[in-house]
Amino acid sequence: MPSDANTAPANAAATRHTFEFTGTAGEMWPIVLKNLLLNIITLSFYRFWGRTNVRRYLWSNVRFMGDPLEYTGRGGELFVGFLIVTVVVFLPLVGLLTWAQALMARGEPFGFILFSAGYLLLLWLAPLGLYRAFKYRMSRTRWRGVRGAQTESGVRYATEFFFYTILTVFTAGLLLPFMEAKLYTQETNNRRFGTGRFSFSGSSGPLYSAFLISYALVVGGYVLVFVIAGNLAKLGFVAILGLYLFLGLAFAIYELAKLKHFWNSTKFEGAEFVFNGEIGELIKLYLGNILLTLVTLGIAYPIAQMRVVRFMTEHLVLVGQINLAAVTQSTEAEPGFGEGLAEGFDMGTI
Amino acid sequence: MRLNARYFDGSNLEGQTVDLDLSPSLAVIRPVAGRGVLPAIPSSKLFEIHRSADGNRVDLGVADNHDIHLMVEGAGVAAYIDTALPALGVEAAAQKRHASVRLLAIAGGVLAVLVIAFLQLERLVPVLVPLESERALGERLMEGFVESSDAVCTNQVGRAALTRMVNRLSPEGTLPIPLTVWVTKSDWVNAFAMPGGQIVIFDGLIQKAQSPDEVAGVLAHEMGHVEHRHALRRLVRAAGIGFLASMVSGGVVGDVSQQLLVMTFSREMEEEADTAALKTLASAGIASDGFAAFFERLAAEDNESDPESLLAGSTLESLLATHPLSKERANKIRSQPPLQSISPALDETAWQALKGICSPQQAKMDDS
Repeated sequence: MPSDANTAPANAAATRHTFEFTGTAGEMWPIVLKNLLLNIITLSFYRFWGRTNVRRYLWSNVRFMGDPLEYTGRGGELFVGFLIVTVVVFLPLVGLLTWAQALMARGEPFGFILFSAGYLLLLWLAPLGLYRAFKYRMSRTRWRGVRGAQTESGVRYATEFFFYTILTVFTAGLLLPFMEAKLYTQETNNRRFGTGRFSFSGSSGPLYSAFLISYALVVGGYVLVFVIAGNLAKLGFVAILGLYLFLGLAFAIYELAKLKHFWNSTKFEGAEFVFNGEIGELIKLYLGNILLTLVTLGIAYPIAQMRVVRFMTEHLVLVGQINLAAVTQSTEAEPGFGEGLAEGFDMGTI
Repeated sequence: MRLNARYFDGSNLEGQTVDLDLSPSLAVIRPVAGRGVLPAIPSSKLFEIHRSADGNRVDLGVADNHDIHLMVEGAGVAAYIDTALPALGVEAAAQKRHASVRLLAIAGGVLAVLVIAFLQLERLVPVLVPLESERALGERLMEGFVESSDAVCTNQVGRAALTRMVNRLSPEGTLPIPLTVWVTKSDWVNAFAMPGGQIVIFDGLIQKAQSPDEVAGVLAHEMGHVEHRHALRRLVRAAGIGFLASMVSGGVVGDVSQQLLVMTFSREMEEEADTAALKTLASAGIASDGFAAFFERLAAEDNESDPESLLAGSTLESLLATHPLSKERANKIRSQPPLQSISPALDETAWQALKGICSPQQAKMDDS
């Protein structure tokens, strides 16, 4: 009884739950360099274990309500995932595409149909891989001993992704916010921490003003380049780099709107997330990461990821009361291996 | 020393406050609230999730039970834990290392099986790909080649001589696929076999040859490639190895290893083609001396000239680059038993005609 009386007012006062990041580049560099060395020695086979080292460091330095996350994934699990997907998915697919090409070389129209079907299948498999990677990462993320989960198999997600992508292409990209909001809804509503649920109540509507500004800047930028220079090939390397930088920054407007709207409409068990980053900070993050990655030829990519994690922990707050005693261990099955499909599409990046 | 800690066992996010008693062998955990007893944890299973920079906080996990988290807080706890548990972290790391070695062994095994399976894939070519398909593929490929090259030689007397040589080496029905032999105007001293019975000889080779037997030897060798369907098998193998290499390395060493493996394996095929060539020459009654002499002469010239030229040239540039002449290979060709009745591959008139296959002619006639 006395403990109950104590916790109630304490919870009521502490309704702003903050995240904190305690990692430093100084601690990350030795991990990055060790991974680099072992990758070279093992013809990059070490990458599964290297990625796990990076994640373990990142996770353990994220604190929520003062307590750290734990990453419980293993390099071997990623490796087994890679092997399984290689044998079950990618080898047959390569065989199919090769056969299709052989048929096309003989001038058989069936070859073209087969080839197109193979590529459409890839468009479906890529988001499936992404979703499977969500599942793996959530299941390997612990906080206070409780693990996360991503429910559903990802088939529905991949199918929606597939059709929305086609729609988006046919509408010159204008359906992008609609597509992203739909997919984010599904991602979020299927996300759990223990038995606690995440939920998203937003829509694509609030994204459109920012999206149209970004879209107009990008289209305008291209038109300008074509009017002034005739075509891209005539521009020098620096000018092209400048153009891509401009396009990237133009899209930062939309990216920021997305971060704000998506997080501000996301709840965990009655508490609401609040994202308070601003455009200048986001651009600074992007520019720093681009520079960091370019200058080190990609070696410092984990450092760039760490900057993203730090940025998120600094700008994200969970506001409201959570009944911590009521959130119990997840009952979702844990996948035994991870991310092979995402790896194949070069998406297992974090 | 008793430590203040918060204990979580994964049953909920609230956890409980506990007293933690650490010894090198056991971590004894007593709830502060005094209700019940929590299971003790062998200290060897404890590992450090994280410690704060100021040393006033250490978060502990349990190696085989990720449900349990112990958050230890207090001035100087990190230093105390390091004294109480000198092996902290090492045990868990050792377990992981053990698992990694086992996994690497499994991985190595699986990879070896995959590589072997891929290298055997080409052997399925004769079973899986019908000859008509290979023929059609070869024709398609040559269509592009003939269109892009206005240097296909068509001198009709020369072509007639060539046809005579081809027919002598390969009488009707001795090869599974009908042959199409092209000569193109080029200084390259080389010849190659494409899928589907398509053989291309560069005029440079014919000019370099000192007797029709030398050309016949090379032609018989390329026919050996056709007989064993090497061109198609090489395509399949190159695709397989390229895919495997890029999967394994993430694209880093793909190209290099692919090139190396394709090269080494083509030697095996060269031997097969040599064997077939010697048989073909024997049944056609043509001495194999010309075949050997041609390669030996090329090798001798190559040694006199800049040794870098072999490396600098593309694989197509030199016959020796794609058909390396080893001692065994030369010996094998040289050690053929003498044939009972031999005659030159072409008589002198036809040989001169073949030499002029790329020279212009007045009247064009279709003689293929």
